[in-house]
Amino acid sequence: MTEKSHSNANGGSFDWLEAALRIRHDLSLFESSGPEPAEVSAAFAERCEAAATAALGIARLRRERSRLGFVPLRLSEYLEELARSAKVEIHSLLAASGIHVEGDELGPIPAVARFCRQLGLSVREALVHLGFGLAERLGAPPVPVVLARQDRPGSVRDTVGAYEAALRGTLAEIGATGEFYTLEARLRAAYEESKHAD
Amino acid sequence: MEEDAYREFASYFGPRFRTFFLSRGLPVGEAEDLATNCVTDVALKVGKYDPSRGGGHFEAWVFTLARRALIDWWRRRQAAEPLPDDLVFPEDTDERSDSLAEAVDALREAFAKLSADDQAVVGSRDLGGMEPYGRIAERLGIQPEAARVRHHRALRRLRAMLEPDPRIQRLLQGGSVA
Repeated sequence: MTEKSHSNANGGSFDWLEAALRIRHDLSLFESSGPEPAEVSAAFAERCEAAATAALGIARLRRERSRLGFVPLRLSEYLEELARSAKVEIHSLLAASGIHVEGDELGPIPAVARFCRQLGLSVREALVHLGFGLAERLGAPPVPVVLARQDRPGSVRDTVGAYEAALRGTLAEIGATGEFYTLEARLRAAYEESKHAD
Repeated sequence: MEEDAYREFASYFGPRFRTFFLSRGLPVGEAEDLATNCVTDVALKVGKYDPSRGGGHFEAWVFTLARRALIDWWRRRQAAEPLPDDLVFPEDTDERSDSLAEAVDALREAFAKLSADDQAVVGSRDLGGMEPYGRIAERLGIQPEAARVRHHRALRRLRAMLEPDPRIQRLLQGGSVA
């Protein structure tokens, strides 16, 4: 191919026809009229089926979450509530999503972020849910007390922002602002990394 | 019913995601991890599929999402290496994905207008895994050098048909034309 008339994002020239042919070839792998995919192992077929089951569970949780909206609970409690209403077995779903549960703590953060994103939670909502857990682990007053702080005349109790402010205040009082910033930075980075998951 | 649809989706597309990622050089373990992630992620997005956009091919829509997953993987794992040209082309946004699907349609139509021999040589060389000229020549009953020349000419014909096509022009818009 000789006519390299366009420049690419890497700053060099490239042949658009060559690139288009490669894309056409790759697309054919997905078409029923294209080449048959390579034979897969039984283990991989099982993983695909588990991934589909996970997708179904997440879709059900997402519907329930959209009905219920934000509820100021620790993430583990919130997910259990959603799962109970949606009749989804949460522990196997979390395991299939690469999330480990240790006590009330969920991790690792990248898998948790991806899962929250799939459920349709904003990064702020996820942060508040996780922040409640962090606050309790660090000995801050439990969630009901955080909520009570919102019960001032004129306070807005139904927004994530109000809960976030109360949470930040509580963590500042026990000197745990740094831990919360670390959690926030890690969560935001993981959300950004999983941007195609929602 | 819902379970069946999800299972069917996984059994059709799971192996195709895997084949695609393997063909792009991912190690087996990573190709399979990414493929199973795609089964979950894409199945969850099926509600967003709009048949009125991007030529209306469901497989093309799924392919676009798999391609994005590959681009993300590449950026995470091969950050030091530049993306291959066909992955940065076109820039990856929803709007550009539509123009990508249209361009693929244009390519398909132009390819169908080539002679049977030209289709055979371009198909084997560019659409079927870089078959060596010697093997193509053997099949067509010609010399390898003649196969190379025929390939070059077929691409020139394809380019001449496609370059003025508005669907290709739309795809190239936004890229810097030298």
